[in-house]
Order: sequence, then C-alpha cells, then structure tokens
Amino acid sequence: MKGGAKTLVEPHRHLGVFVARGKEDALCTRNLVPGESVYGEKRISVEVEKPDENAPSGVLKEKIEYRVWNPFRSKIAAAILGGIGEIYMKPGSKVLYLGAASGTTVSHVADLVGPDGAVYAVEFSHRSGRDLVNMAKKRPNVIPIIEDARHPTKYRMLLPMVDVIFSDVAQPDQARIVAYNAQFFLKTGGAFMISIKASCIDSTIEPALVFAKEVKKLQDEKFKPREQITLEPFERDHAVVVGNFRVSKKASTQ
Amino acid sequence: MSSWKKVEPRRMHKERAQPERRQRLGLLEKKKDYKLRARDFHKKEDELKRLREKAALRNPDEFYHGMISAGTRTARRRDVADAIPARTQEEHALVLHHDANYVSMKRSVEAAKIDRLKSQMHFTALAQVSGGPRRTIFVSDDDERSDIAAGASHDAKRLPGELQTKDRSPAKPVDPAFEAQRLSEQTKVYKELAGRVEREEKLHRLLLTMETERNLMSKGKRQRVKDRDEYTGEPAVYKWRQKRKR
Repeated sequence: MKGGAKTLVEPHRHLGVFVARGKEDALCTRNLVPGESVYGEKRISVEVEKPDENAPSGVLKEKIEYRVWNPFRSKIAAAILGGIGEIYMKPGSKVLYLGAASGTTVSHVADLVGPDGAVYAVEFSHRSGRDLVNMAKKRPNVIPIIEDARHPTKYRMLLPMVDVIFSDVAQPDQARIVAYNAQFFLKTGGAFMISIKASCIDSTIEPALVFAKEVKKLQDEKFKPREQITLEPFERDHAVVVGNFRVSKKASTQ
Repeated sequence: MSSWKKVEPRRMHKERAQPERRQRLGLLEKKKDYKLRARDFHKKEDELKRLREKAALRNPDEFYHGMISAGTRTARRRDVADAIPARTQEEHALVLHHDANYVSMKRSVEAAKIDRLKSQMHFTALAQVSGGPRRTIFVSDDDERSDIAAGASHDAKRLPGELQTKDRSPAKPVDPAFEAQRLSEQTKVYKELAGRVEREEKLHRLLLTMETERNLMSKGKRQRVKDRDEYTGEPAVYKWRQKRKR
C-alpha cells in the first residue's frame, strides 16, 4: 500500500458517532458541511461505494467527510471515550444545549443529530455567541440563542419540546437551571446530560462529594439519574451525569 | 643550439604512481613531500632535544607566581591570562534572560505540537485503564436491578473498551496486512507524543531552574525553604525577606 495505511472509519456503538482508525485513532462525527472545519479540527475523507443502477460499473463512489471530535475540548466526547452507557442523542433528536460557548461541541452534536434533528444552543456571552452564530450560519439544524439560560421564558417562543437537554454551564446553581429549562422544554421521559465541574460548584470539598450532592439535587427536581462518569484522562475533577426526566414508575420498569 | 634540441621528439616522462601492491601506503611520496616531512621531523626532534636539555639544567629552587595561580583544567595547562574574562553580574543576568526566552519559546513550540497530536490521537483503546474514568450506575429500589444484572439496561456488562454492539454492522473481514500497518503507524505516533510530553516537562523544569538562578542574582536576604528535588529535578525554593519600600 502506498502512502501509508488508509484510514478506516467505523460506526461507534452510539448512533451518529464514528471512530477513525488508521494513522489517527480518533472519535469523529460526519461533517454536515463538507470541506470546512469549525475550530481547526482535522477532517478525514473516506470514499465509499454505493450500489447504483445508473452507474456503468453498478457502484457509485461517494466521498464522506468526518470531523475529528477532540475529547480534550468536549465533555461529551470525553464521556463517550470513557465508555458512557447511553448518550440519548441520536440522528433525528432535538437537543437543547445550555452553555454552548463558541459552538465547538455544538457543531459535533449538530453533526450527530443530522439534518433531521435540531440543536438549540443557548449561550449568554456575546463574545463567544458571535462564533456560535457564525457556525450556525452554515448548519441549518443549529438554532443559536444568545440569552441567559436562567430565564427560559425569554426564549420559550423559539423552542419546541426537546428530547435531550445537555448542560455545560459551570455555575453553582446548574441543577436548578437545568430543572427550570426541563420544566419548559423537556419531554416527559426525555433525557438530560449534565457536565459537572467540581471546582465551579464547591472547591472546598472532595469532587466525588460534589458530584453526589449534584445528583441528589437532580433527584429532588424529578430527574432520574442513570449513570455518572468521570472524565479522567481528558479533564480533571469533571463528571458527566445522564438520566431521564419525569419517569413514571411503570415506564421505568420496561 | 639548445632551441633546436627542443624541436626533436623526446621521450615523454610520466609521473610514477604508487604500485598496486603498495596501495595501502597511500600516494607515492615524491621528493617535495619527503622534504616537508623531513623538515617537520627535524623541527620536532630539535624541540624535544631543547626541552630535554632544559629539564636537565632545571633549577630546583626556581619559583614564579604563575606556578600557583595557573591551573590545569583539563590535561592542558591554562594560564590565568588566556582565560575568558568573567562576565559582570549584569551581563550574566542578560545571558540568562536570553537563554530563558529561548527555552520558553522551545517549550511553547513543543506544547503546540502536543496539542495537535492529542487532538487526533484519542487513546480509544485504553481510555478505560486504571486511573481512567469511574463509571457509576444509579439503581433505584423499585426498578431495573434485574435488568442491570442481566446487562440489558445501559450495557452494564459491556466491556469498557468495546465500541460496537453485536447486532449492528456485522464484523467485516479485516485485512491483516492493513491492520498490522495501521497498528505500527499508530504506535509510532503515540511514541512521538510520549517523547514530546517528556521533553516539554524537561524544558519546564529547566525554565524553573533558570528562573531561580536569575532570582538569586537579585538583592535581598533570602532563605532556602525547600531543597532541590534530585528525583524530579525541580529547583530549590527560596523565600525573600520582605523589605519595606520607601
């Protein structure tokens, strides 16, 4: 084989996520906007053959582009690599993303949910909001909202009910913010995914204790945490908690 | 009539070359080469003779101050006069400053390269080794305990490194040659990453040491609060006494 080994892209256990194996060893998502990077990440092009009657050889070669999803910059990617059981986001999902920042992870979530899904990205800071809006210009399934996530009433006109809420707001009252948003927008039985930075909530106690306290808070707010994972090789003292919202006892046994 | 002599055909004299069997001795020595060699040999011979005579006629009571002040750093004697003039304190500080700038530049270059490598090498196979993430699965009393035990919910039984479930994407036959090459290339990149991380750490320690050295040239009373760590190479820590500014 000339020019080094080709890269092989395999689907990950989670729908919409892929793993590139070749010279690189990387998590990636299928690029919605081929030919462009959002934050300077590497792109991987793979040629696949598709059966096609009109083509002379019976197959049509198609180029698919993937973008590398850096776990050192994205909590979701770190959680996936850590082996989280369920991320609830899949192609076609509607996701409310609180704390979108510059939209680096948002762009990958947008790739993941695909053109049938939607990502409602809320960010308060105008400065990083500008990058977010620029990213959203190219991706029709991203709806940027430059508002304070503490006041969901301000953007309630923009949102339908969503399947998943993801939150990375790094505020001490994060659980309350998520709960308030969930009351407005999250479907019954919908899922949440929260990234907790221990030092942002309480820097005086053990991180494990902070996580436990946050989980308790979530349980009080009608959330049902299913799983918690720390993001160890990629982030220090961070955890991601996933679970469902307003699960009836009967539904949960199914 | 010597000019006539030139006209008549004469034998062509070719330069003699070193015979084949004496080739190991190098080029054939000619008279002019011999002369150079002989002159050099005799010069050395004379010098040795002179030194022998000088040693024989040595005065055992002879004394010069240079005998004490000059030292032998390496095998050769070095006079104090030819030593490099010592730098002043300011010059030394400036040199240290330049050195530190260079090291810090090299370190940031290294850090950028590490970042670039890390962004595409995700340790997908070993993100779950010890010291990695801790997974906690929450189980309430009323439900799903049996499910989890059976591995149905949340893939509790799934091995962490396993990326795919059985039902999706049937296992494709893997080309062993491709697999081998892929692995070797990945190993190469991971090795490079490890090397760069180590180098970056070294540069960081060096920078700390240089900074300490520079600080020690400043004024003020200070005290060593921590010795140099021989194991990690971290420099000693000093504390300066506070002085009231006027």
